[in-house]
Amino acid sequence: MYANDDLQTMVRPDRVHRRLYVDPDIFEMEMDRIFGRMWVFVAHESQVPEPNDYVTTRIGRQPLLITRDKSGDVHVMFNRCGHRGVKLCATAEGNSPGFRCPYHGWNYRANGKLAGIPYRDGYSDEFLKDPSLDLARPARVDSYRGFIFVSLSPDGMSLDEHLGPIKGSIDDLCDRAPDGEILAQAGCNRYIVRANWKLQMDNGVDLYHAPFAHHSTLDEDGRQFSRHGGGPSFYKPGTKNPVDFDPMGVHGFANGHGYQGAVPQVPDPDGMAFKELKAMLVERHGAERTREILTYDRFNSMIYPNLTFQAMGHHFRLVMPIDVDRTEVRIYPILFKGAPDAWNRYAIRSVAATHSPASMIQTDDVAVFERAQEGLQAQGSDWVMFARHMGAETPNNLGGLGAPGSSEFVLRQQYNDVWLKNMSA
Amino acid sequence: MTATLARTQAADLPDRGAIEQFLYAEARMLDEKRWEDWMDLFTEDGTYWIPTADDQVDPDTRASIMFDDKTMMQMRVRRLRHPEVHAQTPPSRTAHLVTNVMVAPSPDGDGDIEVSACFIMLEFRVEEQTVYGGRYLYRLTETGNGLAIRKKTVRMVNCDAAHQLMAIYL
Repeated sequence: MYANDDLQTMVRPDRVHRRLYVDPDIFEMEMDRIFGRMWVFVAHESQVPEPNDYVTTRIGRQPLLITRDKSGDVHVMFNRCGHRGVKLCATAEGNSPGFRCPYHGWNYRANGKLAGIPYRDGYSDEFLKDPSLDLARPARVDSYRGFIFVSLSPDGMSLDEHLGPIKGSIDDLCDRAPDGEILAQAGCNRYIVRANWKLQMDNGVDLYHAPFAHHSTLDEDGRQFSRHGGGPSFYKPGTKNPVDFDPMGVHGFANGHGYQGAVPQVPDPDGMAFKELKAMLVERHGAERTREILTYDRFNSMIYPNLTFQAMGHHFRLVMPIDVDRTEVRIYPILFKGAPDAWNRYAIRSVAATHSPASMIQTDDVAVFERAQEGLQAQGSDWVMFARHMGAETPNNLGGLGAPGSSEFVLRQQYNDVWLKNMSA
Repeated sequence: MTATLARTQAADLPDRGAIEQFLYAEARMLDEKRWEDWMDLFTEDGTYWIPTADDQVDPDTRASIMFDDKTMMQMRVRRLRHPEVHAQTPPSRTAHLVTNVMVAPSPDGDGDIEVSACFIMLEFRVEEQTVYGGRYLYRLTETGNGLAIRKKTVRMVNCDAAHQLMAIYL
C-alpha cells in the first residue's frame, strides 16, 4: 500500500513512474480503487438476448454472472454460491433457467433468487429467510445503449456523469445500425498480453505509434490491407515518410475518456452491403442525417478504465487485468441490428484480419506491450513520458479538450486527474 | 452413385501414403518458413480457417482467429517477410507433428478428398515454448500438378481460450 504522498511522487504533469506498470502493490491498489470504485464496463445486453440466457465474466478479478430472467430483466450478480463461495457457473455462455452449485446442490433461479437448498431441515427458518442468501450483487449497475457498466462502490457519481460527453462516441457507433442498436452476438476473440493492463489502454488514444508499430502491415502505397479496400495511406504522397496524424486531432474528457478524431479521406467501403446499409439509413433518417451518421468523425474511442471501440474497425474491446504483468483482452465484433447480413459478415471477417490474437495489426501491438513490460524493469530511467504536444490542448465544443492527433494529453490528464484521484485514500 | 463412389475409391483416391507425404511436406514448409511455397499448395479459391468455437460452422457468423483467402494469405506472408514485423522479432521456431491421418472421399462425390489429422505445433519464441494442438481438417483436390488444398480448417483444442499472440500459420 502506498500513502497519498508516495503516489503523488509517481505522477507528474508530463510523465508517470514505471512503478505504475511493474509494481504488484500498485496493481493490488488498482483492483481496489480503480476497478473497485469506478464505473467499469462488463458486458453488452445483446450478449443475453433471450430469457434465461447468461454469460460469465469478471470485474477486476471478481467473477460475475450476467443473466436475463424470464420476464426480460437483466441481472448482474457475483458468480459465487451463497453457501461456501464456489463459483456457481463454470461456462462462458449459455441458456439455463437456473444454476445449481456443484458442491452441496444449492440452486438459484436466473434472477439470482435462492430456489432451493437440499436437506432444508438442517437450517433454522430464520436462516432460510435471510435475503442475503440470494446471489450477491455489485453495488451499482447501469447501462447506456446496451453497454452495461458496474460500480462496486455504493457511493460516487452516476454512470451518466461518469461517461459525460464520451456518450457521443457510443451514440456515433449505435446510430450506424439501421435499428439504432449494436449487437455483440458473434462471440469474441480473446488474447493474453503478458503486460500491464494500462499499456493496452494507453494505446487506445495513441495515434503516434501507428506508422511505426504497424509498419509491417503497409502495402507499397502505405495503405493497410489496400487489396481488401483498406483506408488512407500512412505515407505522405509520393514518399515513404509517415503522414502527419496531427490534423485528425485527439479529444479528452473528465474521468479519463477520450477519442481520436476523423480519419482523413475515408472512401465509402465498396460493395453492395454498404450500399444497402446506407439505403436503410437514408430511409430511416433522410440523406442529410445519414451522411452525418456515416462520417467517421471518431476513429478509436476509449472509455476509462477498460473499454475501447472503433466503428471503422467493427469491434469493441474489453480490457481485463489479471495480474500486474498479465492482461486478458476480449475483442467483440460489432454487428448492426437491422443491417444486411452481408454487412455483418464483412464486419466479422474484418476483425479476424485486424484484431484477433493471430491478426496482422493486433499482434504487433501485443509484441510491443510485452517488450514495454520487460523494458520497464530497468531502473536506470524511472519515467514513462507523455510529454508530446505539452500544453497544446484547447477547449473543444463538447466540454472537453482537443489537441493535435499525436498529443499525449489524454494520458497526462488521465493519470494526473483520474488515476491519482481514485488511487488516493 | 454407388458406381461413382466405387470408382472414386478405386481409381481417383490417392493412397494414404501419398496423402501423408503431402501433409508432412506441408508441415515442413511451415517449419522452414517457406510460406510462399506453402501458399502455392492452395487452390486459387483455397481458404485457411481457425475458428474460435469448437462447434463453429462458418467464419461469417462468429469471430475467427484466422480466416484467410489467397489474397489475405499473400498480405499475411508479405507482412511476415517485412523487416519490422514485431510479432516475429525474434522469429518463432516451430516443429509440427501430424498424426492420426484418416482419408475419405468427399461426400459431395466431386472427387475431392477429405482428410482429418491430429497435430501438435511446438513453438519457441522469446524465451518461452508454447504448445498448440488439435485437429486439421482438409479438403484436398487433385490438380494437374498433384494434390492441392481447397480448404484447411484448424480445430484447436483450446480454440476459445485467451491466446498469446499467434503470428504464424498453425
